[in-house]
Amino acid sequence: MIELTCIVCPKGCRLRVDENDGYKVTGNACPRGAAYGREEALDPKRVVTSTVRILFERDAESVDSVRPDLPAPLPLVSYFDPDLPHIEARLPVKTSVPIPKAKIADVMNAVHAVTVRGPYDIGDVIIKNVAETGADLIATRDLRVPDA
Amino acid sequence: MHADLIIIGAGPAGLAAAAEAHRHGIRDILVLERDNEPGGILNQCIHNGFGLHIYKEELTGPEYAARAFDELRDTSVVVKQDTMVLSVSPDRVLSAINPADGYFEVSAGAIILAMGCRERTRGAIAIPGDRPSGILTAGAAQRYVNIEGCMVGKRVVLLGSGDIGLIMARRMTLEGAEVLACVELMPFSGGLTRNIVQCLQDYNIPLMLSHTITDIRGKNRLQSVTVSKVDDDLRPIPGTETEMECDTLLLSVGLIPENELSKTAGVELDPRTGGPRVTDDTRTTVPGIFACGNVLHVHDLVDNVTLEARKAGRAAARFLREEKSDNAGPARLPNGHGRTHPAPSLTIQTDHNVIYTVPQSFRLPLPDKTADIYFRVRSILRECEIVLTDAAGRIVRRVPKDYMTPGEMEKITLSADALNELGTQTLTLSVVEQEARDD
Ligand SMILES: Cc1cc2nc3c(=O)[nH]c(=O)nc-3n(C[C@H](O)[C@H](O)[C@H](O)COP(=O)(O)OP(=O)(O)OC[C@H]3O[C@@H](n4cnc5c(N)ncnc54)[C@H](O)[C@@H]3O)c2cc1C
Ligand code: SF4
Repeated sequence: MIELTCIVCPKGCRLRVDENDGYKVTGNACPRGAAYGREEALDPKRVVTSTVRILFERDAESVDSVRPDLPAPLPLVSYFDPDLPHIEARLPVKTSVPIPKAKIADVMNAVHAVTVRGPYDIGDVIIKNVAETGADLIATRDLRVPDA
Repeated sequence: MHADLIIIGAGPAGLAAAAEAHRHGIRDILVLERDNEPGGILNQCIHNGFGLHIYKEELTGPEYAARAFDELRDTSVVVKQDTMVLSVSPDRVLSAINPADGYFEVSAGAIILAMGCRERTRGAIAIPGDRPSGILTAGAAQRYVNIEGCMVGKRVVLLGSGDIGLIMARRMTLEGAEVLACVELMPFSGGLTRNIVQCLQDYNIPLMLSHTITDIRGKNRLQSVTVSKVDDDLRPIPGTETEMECDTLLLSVGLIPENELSKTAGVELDPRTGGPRVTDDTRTTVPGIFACGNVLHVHDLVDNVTLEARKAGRAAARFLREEKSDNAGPARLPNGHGRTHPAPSLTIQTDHNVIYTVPQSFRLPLPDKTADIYFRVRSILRECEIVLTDAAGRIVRRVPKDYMTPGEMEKITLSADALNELGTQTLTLSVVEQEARDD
C-alpha cells in the first residue's frame, strides 16, 4: 500500500494506492484524486529547476547585448571581480518537461558539472536530453553583460 | 519633473499595473525600481509553479517576470532602475535617488504603490539564546543561493513552514545540504500542500507541527538549536526538548507588506493586512494613490497579484480621466467620485473565523459588472459555509465550502448591481462551520 497526499486541490486528501489491486486508489474525495494517485504511484515526475555557472568574457564586444526594443535592459551579474578575466554569474534553468523522480539526482549532477559561456536567451537549450531523461535543460531567463 | 502616473516597484504588480494603465489610454507612465532589473521577487524564485491561471502554463519566476516585462514592449512606459523612492507626500510629490540623476523630486497625477513585502526577521519572534552567524531568513538565503551563487550552509533547520521556507528546503537539499527538519509552531502548515509534498516529503524532510525553537547555541557560527513541543496555547512543554546540531537556521515565519512609503503619504493602514485600506478599485484613503500586490496584502499566487494590479492600472487611468474632465469642465457630477466628498460606501466587517478582507469597503456605484472580496480564514475549517449578511441580518450571499485553510486566499465574487442596490451600510462576512449551524 502506498500512502500519498493529493495535491490537486487544497483539501489534501490522504490517498492509499494498492499496488496489489491494480493500483486502486482509496481516500480520494473526487475523481481527480484517483488519477493523481495512480500516476504518482506508478510514475512520479517532477520539473527540476536550478542554476548553472555562466561566464562572460570581459570585453566590450559582447556588450552589444541589451534588448533595444524594450524600455530597459535585463542585466544581472552577481560576481564582478576586477582581477578575474571573466564575469561569473548564475543562469537559472529548468527541465523542459517533468522527468522521473528517480532521475532528479542524475540531472542535478549534470547541472553541477556544466559551465556555459554567455550571453543566453530565455528558452535556449543548455544540455540536450539531460541525464538521458528525454528532457532538455533550458535557460529560464535572458542573461547578458551589463554595459559596465 | 512630472508624470501622469508613477508606479513604485517593478515587480509583477508594478509591471502589470503599468501595462494595464497604458492599455486604458495613459501614456506618460514612469515606473521606479530600486533593484538593477525589473521582476521583483520573481527573479530569485527560480522554481516553477507561476502563471497557471494567467498564462495557462507552469512557468518559473524569471519566466513569469519576462512575460510581465514583455507586456511593456512597444509602449511608452519608462522603467527607471536603480532608483530608490525615499518619500511620497499626500499631494503626490515623490523624492527619489539614483546614481544617474542623484536626488530628484517628481510630481504625479496618480500613484500606484507596488513595493511588495518583506520577511519577518528573528527579532520579530524573539528566540532566546546566542546570536551567532548562520541565522537568516529563507528569502535572503534564496537570493544568496539562486542569484549570488553562494551556499549558505551544510546542516540546516527550518523554522516556520511558509512557502519560501519549503521551497528553500528543497533547494538546499538539491545543492547538497542536509535539511534536518521543518519546525512549525502551529498544528498546521501555512504552506501550500503541493510544496509540503514536493519540497519536504519528496526529500524525507520531517515536518514537526506544534513545535518551536526554544534555544540557539553557537559562539561564532551556529552550532545547535533546541526544538520543543508546544501545548494548545502554543507554550513550550518542559521536558520535550531535543537538541539538533546544525550550522544554519532558516526563518520562514511570515511576510509583512512594505509600507514605509505609504506612511509618509498619509495612507491609512489596516492592522490586519499590514497594507493600506482600500476600496474595491484599490483606492487608498489618499486621493489619487492606489495600491496592489504584496504591498496591499500578502498573496500566495502571483496570478492574483497580476489581476489585482490590472485593477489598479484601470482605476488610476479612470482617476486621471476624471481629474482631467473635472478641471476642464464646470459640471462636476455629484456622484461622490470627486476629491473632497467621500463616496457612499459599503463597509465589510468580519467574524472571528475571518482574519481580513480586501477590499475593506466598496465605493458606490461600482465601476465593473462584478466585484470580488478576497479574504483569509484564521484556521483550517471543514464543511463550512461562507455567509455574507447585510446590516439587517439578511443573507446576501452564501457559498458552501468543503475545506478552507489560512494558507490559501479565498475569493467570493458578487454582482455589482446587487451591491449598488444595498446602498451605504455594513456587510458582515462570516464563515460558519457545519456543527455550529446544526446547534
Ligand atoms: C519566495 C517566494 C516564493 C513564491 N512562490 C510562488 C509560487 O510558487 N507561485 C506563485 O504563484 N506565487 C509565488 N509567490 C508569490 C508571488 O511571487 C508574489 O506574491 C509576487 O511576486 C508579489 O509581487 P509584487 O510585485 O507585489 O512584489 P515584489 O515582487 O516584491 O516587487 C516589489 C518591487 O518593488 C521594489 N521596491 C520596493 N520598495 C521600493 C522603493 N522604495 N523604491 C523603488 N522600488 C521599490 C522592489 O525592489 C521590488 O522589485 C512567491 C513569493 C515569494 C516571496
Ligand atoms: S482527491 Fe479531489 S478533493 Fe481530495 S485533494 Fe485531491 S482533488 Fe482535492
